Amino acid sequence: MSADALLEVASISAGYRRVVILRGINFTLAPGERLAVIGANGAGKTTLLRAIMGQIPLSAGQIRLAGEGLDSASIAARARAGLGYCPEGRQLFPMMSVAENLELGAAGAGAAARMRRREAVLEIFPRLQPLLGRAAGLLSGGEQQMVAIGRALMGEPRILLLDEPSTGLAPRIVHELYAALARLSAVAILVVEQNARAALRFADRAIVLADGAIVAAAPAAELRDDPLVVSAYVGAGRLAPA
Amino acid sequence: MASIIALVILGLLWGGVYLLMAEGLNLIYGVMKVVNLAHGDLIVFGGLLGYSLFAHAGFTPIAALLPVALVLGALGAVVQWGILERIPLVGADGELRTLLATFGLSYVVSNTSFLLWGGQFQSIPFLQGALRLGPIAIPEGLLACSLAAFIAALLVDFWLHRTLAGKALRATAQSPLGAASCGLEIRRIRIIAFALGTAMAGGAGALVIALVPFQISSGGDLTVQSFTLIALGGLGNYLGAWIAAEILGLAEVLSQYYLGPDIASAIIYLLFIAVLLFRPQGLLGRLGRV
Repeated sequence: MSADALLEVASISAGYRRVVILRGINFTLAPGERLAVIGANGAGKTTLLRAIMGQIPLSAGQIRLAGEGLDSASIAARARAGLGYCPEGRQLFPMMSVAENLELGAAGAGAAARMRRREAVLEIFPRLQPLLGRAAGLLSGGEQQMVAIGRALMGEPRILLLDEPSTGLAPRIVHELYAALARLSAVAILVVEQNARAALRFADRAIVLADGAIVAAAPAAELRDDPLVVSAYVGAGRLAPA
Repeated sequence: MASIIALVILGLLWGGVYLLMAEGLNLIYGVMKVVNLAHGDLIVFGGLLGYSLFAHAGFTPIAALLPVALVLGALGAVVQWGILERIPLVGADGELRTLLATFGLSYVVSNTSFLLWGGQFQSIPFLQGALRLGPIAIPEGLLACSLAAFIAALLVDFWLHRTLAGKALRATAQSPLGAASCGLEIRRIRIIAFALGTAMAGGAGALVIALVPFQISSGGDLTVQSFTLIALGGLGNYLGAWIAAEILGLAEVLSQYYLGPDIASAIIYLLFIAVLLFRPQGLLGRLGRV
């Protein structure tokens, strides 16, 4: 394991019942680093995040957070250990207000800490300020995604795990979302994305998954210029600078 | 006119009692999607426990409410931890498994009641006078029990909506994965929800036995009555249950007065069928869900 790795994913295999999806995945994430995982539909991107969060068991390998094995930890225990998770479908509490959603993200903290963290989240997503009293289920897709990320940030995570944050959002909102994420310097971010263009622009480093295995790993800038990656996952000519 | 006002008041008061009876079932369904078929038997168990507290220690139904709720809550926590938590809820058979488990539990509870209290009807004489408001007479026992039920339901409502622990429970009902991602141990929350649901059932039983005599076989009817109410309000819908309880109370009292007691008991089932046919999502649909 590299000495400065915050998260180490070591030779993990995982899947659903007897179907193996991930095969021998290896990578590390350093503090403050931004790592994108891209790949086609069904490549195993979401399964990777589920395995890291303990939603599905590993059939081989190990996951360590700051050197501590997470094997027997529940999803909640992993969240408390510092993994801020925005799962597929956002998983907000739709009948509760935005303020309550954020509050529950820091359920283990005291009232003063919750208030301080909420202010910090509202600085990152000022668009949420006038929506605090509104039910989360009534917000637009982009606003819901901001609440989901804000809720994860309320736990002051060491790593933010984002599952397809741009799904269903207009390009302008995707840009706004990634611009906000780019301002988070204190937290490492692991983002899995179908929207490879946005992910590769945002990340420091990226890995490409295909059929549950890593087929390429390199600095994001290099992958942005790789014609094979461009044609397979981004679309030729779509990586030109904005 | 006075008789209609009296009937409406009686109906609303019965609604308060029904609310407490069904609210525990609603909470358990809202959080865990488990239809607890032992709910009525737990109400009867709570009522008979209240009867023992009255017979041996002189507890009134209102004084018995808290100790009975605590005992039933502890029992519920053990059942959830020891049985339901170990049954896989996911998959096509998930709901069937929990239905069978709670069906079995209803037998265990009713037979335990039989061993402890026998098969005869039991009741508690409590405030048997009437409060007179001009020409309107309101039974004091019903008034006291209904107020106690309303206060208990309001306290639970306050806990659910104003405390962090209550919000955590509602959050788990709305998205278990979202709650777990917030660091909330949903297994513990499910145990709390089931314990609270059975505590409310027990507390309701301690009150209702002063109004309606209980016998161990009363549990089945109470389960259906509670289920009708939460179906009318919308499964897992807290606000809907309040409205449905009042509708049910009014329908029962008015039909009993105008159509007779035999028709009155059928009215509840007719209402239930009408809801399933025309408004299967309940009166309020998604609005007001736990």
